[in-house]
Amino acid sequence: MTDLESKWPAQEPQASFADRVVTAAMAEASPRRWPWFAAGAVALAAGIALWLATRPAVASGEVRADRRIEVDLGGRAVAVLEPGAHVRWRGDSVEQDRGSVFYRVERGASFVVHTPMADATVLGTCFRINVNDKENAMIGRDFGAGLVGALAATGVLVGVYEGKVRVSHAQQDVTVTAGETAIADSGGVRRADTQAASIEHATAVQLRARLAALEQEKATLEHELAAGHAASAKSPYDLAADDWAKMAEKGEFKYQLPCFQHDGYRPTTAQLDKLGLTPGDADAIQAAYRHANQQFGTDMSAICGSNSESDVSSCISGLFRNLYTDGADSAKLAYTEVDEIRAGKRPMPPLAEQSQSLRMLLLFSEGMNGFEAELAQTFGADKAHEIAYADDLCFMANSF
Amino acid sequence: MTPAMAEPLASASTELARALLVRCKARDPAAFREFVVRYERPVFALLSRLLGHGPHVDDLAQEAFLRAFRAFPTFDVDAAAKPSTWLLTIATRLALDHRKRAALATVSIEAADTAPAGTTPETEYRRREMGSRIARAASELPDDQRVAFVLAEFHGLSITEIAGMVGIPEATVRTRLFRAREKLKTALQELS
Repeated sequence: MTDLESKWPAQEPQASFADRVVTAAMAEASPRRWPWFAAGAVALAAGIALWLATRPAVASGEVRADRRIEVDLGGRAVAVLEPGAHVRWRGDSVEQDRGSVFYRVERGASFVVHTPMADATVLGTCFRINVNDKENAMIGRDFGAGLVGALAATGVLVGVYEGKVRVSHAQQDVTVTAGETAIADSGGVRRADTQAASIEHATAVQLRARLAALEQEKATLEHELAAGHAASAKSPYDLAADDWAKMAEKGEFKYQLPCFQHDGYRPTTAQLDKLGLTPGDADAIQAAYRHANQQFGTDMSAICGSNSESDVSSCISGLFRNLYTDGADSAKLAYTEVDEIRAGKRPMPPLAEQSQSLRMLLLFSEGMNGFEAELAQTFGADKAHEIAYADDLCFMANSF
Repeated sequence: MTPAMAEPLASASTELARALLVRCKARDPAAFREFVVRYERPVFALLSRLLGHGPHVDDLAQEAFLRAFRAFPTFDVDAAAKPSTWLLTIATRLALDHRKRAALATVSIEAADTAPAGTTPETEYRRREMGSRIARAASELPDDQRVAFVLAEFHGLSITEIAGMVGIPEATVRTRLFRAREKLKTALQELS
């Protein structure tokens, strides 16, 4: 029975199984008891994971670029590979063993890029990883010349354009933010000291490497511009009728909801300060979170016909699964219907004619509206909108 | 590099580093995620072979990891017990409880998604037939024999480890394993 494995195959985990488990575990670990609809939200992740797993083109794969190529990784990340780069991915876990790759990752659970020298963990950002093709030969060299030397010689460079990236190597890790670069080599991982870059010490090879990096950065920026991915003020989840209409053409769906926490999420002083608010504003924001959570719970309970926590959790998970019963195309039809309703291209069906799935998707498509409306009473419409889609506050977002 | 990506095995032959387990004990989410990624495939393999394929495997696998997460503070990283064995013990008990509770019928396996590259339609058909036959024969095994067989054959656990996991004497494990192998060998011979 030496090849019993192949004769009796096992069931494979879904692509985002690990993220779902970690989400559930962290919810349990919270000292505050989450309301029942938080469990529903976790179950929702199961539905999303199911979708990710059943979307064959993106759940896993491998690409070796012979030209610049854009790849959709697992639904919430886009990678732009430069010629010579090689990645393979499974869910939110990516292996990059060579070349230069730009990543744009939507907010969500942990997203990790594994390289030969280090792992980069992010939570919604864009960054570039450059794995030097000659990393093996270069290991052990002196990097005292700083970034310029490092570009030519080091194993891995991680340059961050937005957000934060944690770069870990063995027992060390460094968090780099926008504009910073981390170096990982045989000596460990550290933040690049651009001041130490000394042109005087740069060799022709080093300068060529620097030029190549600059060209890649330029290409990345051009790509961002072309794709409309530049760090703009508008959140990708701040959806107007035009956005819904565009999603309807592709059968896509996305949502952002206020995060679920018992008694409502309370922003920190630092978060408030960043938004130009004072500590006294925390009460109003927390109340808006609390009320949005409660309203979501009430609405979802009505859709599922039960107040039981476990019933509603199962209900959400089941409804998402049902969307894919007949494959990804059937789910796209459901998403298109909601998109078109939100785009104003299709009338809202009478409640009695709405399926459970449609009611659930319509509820999710309400997104931050209720939360924002309550905030508007205190802060005014413009500020409420800014708060609702602020990157630093707490929300759940997903795109399909 | 993620071990699960580099080593697509059903068994957990490579254990996680002690330092990472220590972080899991401290409930570090990133470490726990690595733990899940490392062991998700063995847990799915165990559960799907004990209970048949289906959404219940996903549910029970999640519950197994959540139980491990809750129990991590009591897990001794310096003890002889391997984390994989510890986790598979949790999953095995969950599976047995599930069988008792739901009297679940083991469903046939689905081999279509795991077809190796380069197979012909004929060999693929035969492979599926073989898989179906094994799964069917396994589904007819008593729970205790199936547990012993799957843990020994697919997860490389020793008689001693299985005895410790299930809480029975080693001699009983040997007997169960022998009987399970005999029945499955018969099923394979009939096919060939």
